[in-house]
Amino acid sequence: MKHVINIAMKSVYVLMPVTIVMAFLWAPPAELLGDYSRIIYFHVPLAWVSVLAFVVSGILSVIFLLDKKNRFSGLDGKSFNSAAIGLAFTVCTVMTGSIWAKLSWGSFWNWDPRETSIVFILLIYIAYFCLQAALAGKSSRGKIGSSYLIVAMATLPFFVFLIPRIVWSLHPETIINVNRTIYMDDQMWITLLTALISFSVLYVYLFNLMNRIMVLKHRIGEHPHAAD
Amino acid sequence: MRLIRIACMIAAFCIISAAAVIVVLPDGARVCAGNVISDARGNDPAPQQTGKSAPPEKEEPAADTSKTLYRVTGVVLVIWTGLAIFLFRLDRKVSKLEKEITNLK
Repeated sequence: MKHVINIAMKSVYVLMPVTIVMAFLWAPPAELLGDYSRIIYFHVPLAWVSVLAFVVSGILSVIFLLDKKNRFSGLDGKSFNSAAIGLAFTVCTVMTGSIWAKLSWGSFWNWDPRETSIVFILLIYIAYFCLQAALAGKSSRGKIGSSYLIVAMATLPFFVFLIPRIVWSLHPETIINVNRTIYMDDQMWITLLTALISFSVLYVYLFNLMNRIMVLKHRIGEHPHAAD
Repeated sequence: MRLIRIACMIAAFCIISAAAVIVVLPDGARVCAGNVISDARGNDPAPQQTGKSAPPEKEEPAADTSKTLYRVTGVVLVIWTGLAIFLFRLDRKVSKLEKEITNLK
């Protein structure tokens, strides 16, 4: 089973080039936006993975706080790693989004509801890392950090799903819209789906790698000469 | 430090991919973007639907565009190759260390 998961994670080495080729060469350009629309195959999956990473960090924090008997080790560290990946991907989402906004709307930043929401999300998670740094070496670090991540996760539905749907936005209608109809050609939809899978696998791969490094650091702490 | 490196590489991958699209694409595609600027700032508040492919009359500039798209794809693939080599080597080093520590026990 572990072997199968390992192979599935390493499929990112194949999936990502396939996504790139599909995004640039196979998918047709979108109406009005032309070839610039191809950024969607990177921008949307990055945004999806950042939300996924934040949700995973929140869920791991819940498990960490409920796990009184300490059955699962290093959950606070894992939630930290997931939040870190989420933050990195959110920054990438903002960057790709800004470039696209410049091309489509004429300005890098328009204070669109989605843009404003992502600023709040960024601030919330940057504050988490400040908190973790301030609590370094203290025994309460895990509990306080996990509690913060749960509160941060609770704010996500408002910033990601609710506010952009309530306030009028420059952003196009979401893929899962009011009419529950996908306004996309089959080729575009398949490419977007492939990109979503590729970036999700990339997240799982990075998350696993970071967790393994964390465990290694811990073990090397126990055996200081192991890395010599 | 590893996280910062990985984050920087992913950011570089995304920025250079997007920049490659902007720089390499010919003017034909920029005209398409110009239409959207006027639409988004006009009176019609309806959100843009980006999910439909371009109509067939845009096939003429598409010949130039497809040529440049191959270049963009090449650039992005080279960047991904760099990132993949970094991740693969990191993975291998971690596996090696894990084995060494297991053997120590």
